[in-house]
Amino acid sequence: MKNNFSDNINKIINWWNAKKEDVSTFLVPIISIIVAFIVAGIMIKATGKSPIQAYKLLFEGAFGSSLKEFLSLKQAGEGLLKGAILTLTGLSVTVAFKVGLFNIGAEGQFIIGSIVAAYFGYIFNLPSIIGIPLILILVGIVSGLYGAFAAWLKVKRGVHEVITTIMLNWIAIHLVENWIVVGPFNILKYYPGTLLVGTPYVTDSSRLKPLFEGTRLNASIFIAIIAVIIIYIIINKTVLGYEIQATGLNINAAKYAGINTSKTMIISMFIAGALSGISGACMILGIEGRYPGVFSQGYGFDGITMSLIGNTTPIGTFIAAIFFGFVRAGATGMQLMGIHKSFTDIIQGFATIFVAGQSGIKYLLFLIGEKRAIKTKEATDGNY
Amino acid sequence: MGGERIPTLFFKIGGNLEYAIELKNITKIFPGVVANDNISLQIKKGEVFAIVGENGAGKTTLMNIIYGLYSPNYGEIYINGKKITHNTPKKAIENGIGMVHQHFMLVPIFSVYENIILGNEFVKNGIVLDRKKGIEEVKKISEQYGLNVDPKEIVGNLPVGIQQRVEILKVLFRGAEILILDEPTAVLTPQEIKELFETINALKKDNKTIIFISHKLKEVLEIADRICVLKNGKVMGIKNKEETNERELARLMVGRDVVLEIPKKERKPGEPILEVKDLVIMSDKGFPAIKGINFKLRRYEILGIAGVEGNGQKELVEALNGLRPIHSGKILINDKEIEKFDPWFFRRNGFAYIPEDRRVRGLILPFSVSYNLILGRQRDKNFKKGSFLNSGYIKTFSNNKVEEYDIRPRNPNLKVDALSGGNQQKVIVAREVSYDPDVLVASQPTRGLDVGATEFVHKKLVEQRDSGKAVLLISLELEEIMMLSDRIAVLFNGEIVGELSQEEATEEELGLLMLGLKRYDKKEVEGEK
Repeated sequence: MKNNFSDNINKIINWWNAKKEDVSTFLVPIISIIVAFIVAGIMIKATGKSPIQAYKLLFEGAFGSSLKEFLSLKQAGEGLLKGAILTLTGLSVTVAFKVGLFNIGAEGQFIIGSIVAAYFGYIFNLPSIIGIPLILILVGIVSGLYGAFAAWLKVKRGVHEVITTIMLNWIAIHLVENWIVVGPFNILKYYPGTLLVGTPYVTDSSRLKPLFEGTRLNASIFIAIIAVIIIYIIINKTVLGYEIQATGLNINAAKYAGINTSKTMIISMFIAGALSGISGACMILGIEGRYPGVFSQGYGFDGITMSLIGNTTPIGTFIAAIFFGFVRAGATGMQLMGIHKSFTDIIQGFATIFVAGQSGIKYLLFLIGEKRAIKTKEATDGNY
Repeated sequence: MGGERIPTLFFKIGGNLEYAIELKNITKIFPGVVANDNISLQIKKGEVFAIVGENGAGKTTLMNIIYGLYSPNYGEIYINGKKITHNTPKKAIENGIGMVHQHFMLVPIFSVYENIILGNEFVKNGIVLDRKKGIEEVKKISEQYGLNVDPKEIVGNLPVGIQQRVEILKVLFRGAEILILDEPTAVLTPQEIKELFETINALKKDNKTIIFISHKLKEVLEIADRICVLKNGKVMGIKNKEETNERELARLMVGRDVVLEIPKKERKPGEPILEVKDLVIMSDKGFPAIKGINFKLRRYEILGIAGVEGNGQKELVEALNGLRPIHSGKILINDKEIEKFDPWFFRRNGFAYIPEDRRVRGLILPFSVSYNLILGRQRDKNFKKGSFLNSGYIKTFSNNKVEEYDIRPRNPNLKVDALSGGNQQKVIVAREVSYDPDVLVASQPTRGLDVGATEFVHKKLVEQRDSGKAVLLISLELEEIMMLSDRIAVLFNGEIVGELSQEEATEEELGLLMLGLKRYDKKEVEGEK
């Protein structure tokens, strides 16, 4: 009996030792999110409201109150839509992380992508099947160059990408919102006397239309999924991905081996910029229909969170983004009991903090493993 | 200062007073590894006790247990006959144990005396630091042990050998009776090693106990009274110096007979491959680090570059790697001048490298063994299919290399970080030799490796030479250079101050050249026909 027992324990420990890293990279984000919900729940409780009630509303807001409603995607579609936008900015940050850069500039690239999409969406009046891909390609090129510019500055001039991308965010915001949108591309130029602010609406054929009746969900989700697959393949299967990872993990060894790390960084940041830009394009073509007067909603910054919670892998980023897409969609439901929808930012923030503190969580998991190992040794030796 | 000692007589419970340290059945388990397996040994007062073993044999773990950084899972520790339970570094220091780490724990911008008194400062009038007393005390203790050093010198400006002296003074100042020296010679020149050994002998005369950790058998046989060999966490034997020899110790360490001399084919240099002409290279600070050197490297030949660290080796290696642009002069390979200073260009023209720091430049630690084996070759014909990695070919290739080079564990999908140092180096050697290079630049290729892995790397270098390739060996280990090189050039202060053939070279002669005390006439360093 005892032998059997210790054998089993041994098996568990061997499995643990072999899988510990995989398991903990998988477990850490999940534990972090659960803990974040608990802590945020305590905060709801502190305001005198019931966290259980709040989370129930959140859940219903996200998925609908019945299975039928969930399947009709009336509520859930909103979560997927937000998730798609977040996936794209999250992927942008993930690609940059892979090459060892911190792309805080996703927000700026998102804005550049948005205005480019608004412009070409207005100009083009082609069949959707040609027009929309063409717009996305143009958006990808322009915002890709905007992202690559930061990498170029780093490679050529040695300026840290955190500094340049932050500054490029502000440049993008002011350039677009304080000049283009109120100046050369203002709706008043095209429709004098209108009361609207912002840019003119894109043509009908340039719009991403809802997939079903009664939901805003559109092709953005497919664009996001395709992007996840492409980025996954690039990173894990291609020569470029190999070089991206090598540069990100140890730039000294990569250089030493003859990899052109400068080029690799610029290409990666081009891809990152393009992804954020396409995210912006999905927002314009799918939801807003034009670039409104004031727009910046922080999807770019949220991309950083998604990437971190998703452990900076494409699949992880996707899961985190869809999850938080639902949380955000559901947050509207919580407003019924007087909790502002920006409450989700708190949950998101806590989750990020706990993920960032993952070495602590991993250490706890390691301690458990060690204790078990010693106990087994005691059990098997028996003599001590 | 903690010089006052409690008479240990009263604490004689089960321990023997003759011994400074007695370990009984020490076992330390880490998840998945038994780092120390039932180790029992006695270290006598006033002896130099050496602990040798390959990397990962458990030397450092054992020392950390004695020093109280780890607590053993089982077993007992007696210090001066007194049983120690719940050991901590503080307790260990109180019990007179001092540790000199391999990597110095000094504040470089502080002066010598400030470093020594740090944590045990003298205070006057309640709060004011008494610098004068500090300097006096440090002077006193350095004179007492004959460890000459100027207390007011800034530590960062001192050579490594003197910094180590400061470390030793630091532990003596704290009243250490038992000194643990962790790989103390790893960073020293032959002359500095000699001085260190004098210091150790002086300490021994003063009845201090010294635990000397090393994997260099020659040194251990020179300085230690008794030698303990560890392998896989177990004691393989404790030998008196007089009763043993290098061969026996090596066998105990590795578990098999080790070839200490690598057989080489007779020397017959071929046509020159690499030619360096009036090469000047700038250091990071913008001063010339290499001041116009010339040499030729031929086929069937190993050229050794000897020298004390910091005499231009780093810059030379980086220039030959393409990482550092040259200031003036020429590098020719196969009579073709290199114009582009870019590692990729060098590699395409027949260079390959074994870097001195495998964890920084040699490997990408989070990558698998397989990915590390193709690092830099990912764009070669066979390794890719269009834009994609050719995973089938990579798999066969890395399986073959793992087999051929006996890389353990034999799993190319394992992260290279999980391998031992010796196996990591094998990954690098396997990769670099697979480039089939004309010139292999090996910069301290055996740094931090154990006997078995060193033997392996040396064999591979000689194999390269014997197969008609050329090897440039840059090393701080004189023994290695003298054993392998057909010719030895000595680098001092950015210049080649002499060149000797293997037969001409003696340790004394090279030592004088390395320290700049002698220099040959400025002639071209060139292999004879």
